Amino acid sequence: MKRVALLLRLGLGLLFVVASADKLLHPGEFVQIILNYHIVSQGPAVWAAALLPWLELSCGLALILNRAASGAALLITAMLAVFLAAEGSALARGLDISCGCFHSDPAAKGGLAWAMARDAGLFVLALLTTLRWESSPERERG
Amino acid sequence: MRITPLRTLQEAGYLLLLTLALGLAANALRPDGLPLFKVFQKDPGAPPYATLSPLAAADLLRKGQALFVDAREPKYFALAHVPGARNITPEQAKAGAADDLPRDKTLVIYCDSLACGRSHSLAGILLEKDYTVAVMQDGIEGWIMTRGPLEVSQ
Repeated sequence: MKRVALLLRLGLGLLFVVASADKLLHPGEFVQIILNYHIVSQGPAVWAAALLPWLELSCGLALILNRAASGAALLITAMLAVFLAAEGSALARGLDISCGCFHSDPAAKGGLAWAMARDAGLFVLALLTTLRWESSPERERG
Repeated sequence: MRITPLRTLQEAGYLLLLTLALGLAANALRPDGLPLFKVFQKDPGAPPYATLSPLAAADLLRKGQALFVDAREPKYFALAHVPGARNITPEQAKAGAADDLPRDKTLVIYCDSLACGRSHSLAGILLEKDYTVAVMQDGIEGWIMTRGPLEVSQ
């Protein structure tokens, strides 16, 4: 069980580090990806594009290094809930956009349903990771 | 050390503070930093270009003040498009296909319908190239609904 938890922590951490990379390099393009969802205006989109990739990186590294990992798992669960809501809303409105989860190409399109299914799976795993820490008497040292 | 909900929230708070510090510092240091404190248009959700109804777009076209740009894939453009429209996808625009467009006209961009995002993607790209841009939000569907004329590629 400990091995599964360790794999889960490292896997989620690595995934979020990878997800942050392209967005950190191209924040301008990431603003457009957020605007493509037609949920927030430019002001909040600019702030989200400036901070969200750093939050993904911080949480990913925290999980990998097992420092502040329970907080990181909680934040990743919350992020995935927000991503799922945004993707669901875009799908419901029939938007032909890409989720922008692992890249920052605003002209990309499609694959939202697949991204939503993937994020739903990740949400469950992140929630399990968070709950495991909440119920754990001692911090796991991987 | 026991991991309590309070400790989890504390850790999350530390990570949020770290993120805020890193994000602001990196944005301030990089040459292409984002305009975090710029005051954007007051209308929430409004894009930085005009959005036109099909009738308003048709009026601009009649006056010779507009060129329609179809942001859809060529196969859909071939089926039906606004007469005289140019077919430029966002990908093609990024590759330089939009560099010869007229600068004395409003580029009215459209895609499938209200729901498609390609027109807005293309508008953003053309806006960066300093064109006068507007998006026909209802797309070709709205154009057809208002009985706008159509052209088919041979």
